[in-house]
Amino acid sequence: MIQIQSLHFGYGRKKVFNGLSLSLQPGHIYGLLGKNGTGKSTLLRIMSGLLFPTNGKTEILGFNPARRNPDFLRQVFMVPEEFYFPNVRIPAFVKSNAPFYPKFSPKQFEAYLKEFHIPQDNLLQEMSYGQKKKVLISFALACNTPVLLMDEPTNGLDIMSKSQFRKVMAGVVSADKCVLISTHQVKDLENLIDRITIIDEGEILFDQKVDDIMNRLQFKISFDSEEVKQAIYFESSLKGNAVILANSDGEEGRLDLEMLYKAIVNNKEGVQSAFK
Amino acid sequence: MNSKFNFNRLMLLVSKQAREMGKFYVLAALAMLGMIILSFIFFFILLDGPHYREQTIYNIYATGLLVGGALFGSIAFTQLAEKEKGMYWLSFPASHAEKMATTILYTSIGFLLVYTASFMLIKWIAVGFVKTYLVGNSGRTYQEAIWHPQQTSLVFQVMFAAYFGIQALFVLGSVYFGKYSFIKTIIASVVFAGVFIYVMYKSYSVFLPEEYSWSVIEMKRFFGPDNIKYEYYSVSKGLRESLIFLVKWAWAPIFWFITWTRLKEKQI
Repeated sequence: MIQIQSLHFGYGRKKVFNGLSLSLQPGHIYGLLGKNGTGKSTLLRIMSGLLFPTNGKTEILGFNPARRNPDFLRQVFMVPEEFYFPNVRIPAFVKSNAPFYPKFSPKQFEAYLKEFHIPQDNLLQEMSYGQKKKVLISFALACNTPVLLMDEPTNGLDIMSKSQFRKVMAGVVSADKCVLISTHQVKDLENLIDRITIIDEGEILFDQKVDDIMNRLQFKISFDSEEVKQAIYFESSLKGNAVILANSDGEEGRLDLEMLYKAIVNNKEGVQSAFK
Repeated sequence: MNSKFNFNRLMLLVSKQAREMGKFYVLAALAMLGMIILSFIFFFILLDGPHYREQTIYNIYATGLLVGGALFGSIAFTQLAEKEKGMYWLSFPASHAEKMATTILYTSIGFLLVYTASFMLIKWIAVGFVKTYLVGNSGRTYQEAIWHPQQTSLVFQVMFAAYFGIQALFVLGSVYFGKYSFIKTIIASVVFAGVFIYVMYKSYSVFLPEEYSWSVIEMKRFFGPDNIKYEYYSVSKGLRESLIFLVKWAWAPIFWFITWTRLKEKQI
């Protein structure tokens, strides 16, 4: 569905991607993680046709995004971190924009707005940032595009809204849909994403399915100093040592995405050795 | 559905633009109406009196059309200067040609129609006021414009060709420069025109021997005592008229084409 091969891109002399390759398939919610300035948003903008790679091949649903073909644009929806809304009410916005997305569902849109507790009669520009973001997310989901790109979707959402977001997102995965969420707020995506891709310095640092991670790694609190020594990564806390160990016994556990992210940034080789 | 240009999609875009930008267009039309009223008061009623001339009104019309058109054209694609608005506009599922056609429909055709209608309304009121209340008092007069059909037709042709050409240039400038595009387009045009004139002048003096005189589509070679006699070279009448037609009307399509190309290349 999304194929990226040897992607090169830079802002002037500053290189962002130097031969990045990535393949995303339908039926998954991908989490794109990375530090600030590693190119997460840039990658999403390249995928949505807003930026053009200097070299390499980007193909989404058989289209070259850089051409911004209308048939491509109506199948790919991007929720940017910073976005614009015209100063109209929600019904007018829907009337203007929905006809361009053939699979838009007004019923779904209403349901999402209801879930997010968004009033329909306010002017969009008079709404708070969080409310506007929820309107955009609702619209994006109701468009039912096969590719949905979300850049820091939980930024600006309060605790309740983040929970509503996770609930809503959990229901949107389908066999023909590919969702890519870029974020540095990893906690917000736990239990939501089924594949994790971490980029750093313009390269893929880590790219694994959540199931595989759980099969290969074990996340636990340990008081055993020997276990801590063997850990791929550990953090001391008042509750004991939070550790990541190689899951040699096939034990079931709970993924701690934040710990995993820190482990990959601090001990990449250690984490990768568990997947060999 | 055609991916390059689809009429249904264009109509949807036109109605989307009306819905989302309607308030701005109404405010802009009111501001324009105010400027026309001020221009009439200042240039026609105050400066032109006591001998009011219809010709002054048409001078106001032409100046307002060109200046106002350029100003309106220079904001045609200002959204591309802002990341959020630019992303909203570029990632919208319509082709660049449809988006550009919609913008031109509002900035060029829409402006022309609204400006002309507003102007005619104010003209009707102002001339009525002058004729009813001012003419006849203390030697005040109103002189109607004299229309020579051929000359008038040429004036209108040149005026509208200039309007579309200049506005298309400023529309292009709004894609190139984003912020302060009106000023930057003026500066770029002056620099470009200056360089062009300089190059043409230099080419003329370098390539043409002294006895030749050249003026775009004709050339004369003077000879004999005191250079009184000359040989005359010119393109055929048909080609000459075609060239004049192109010089008059080709600017707008050329600038629109470059704008469309730039839109396709635009990155945010």
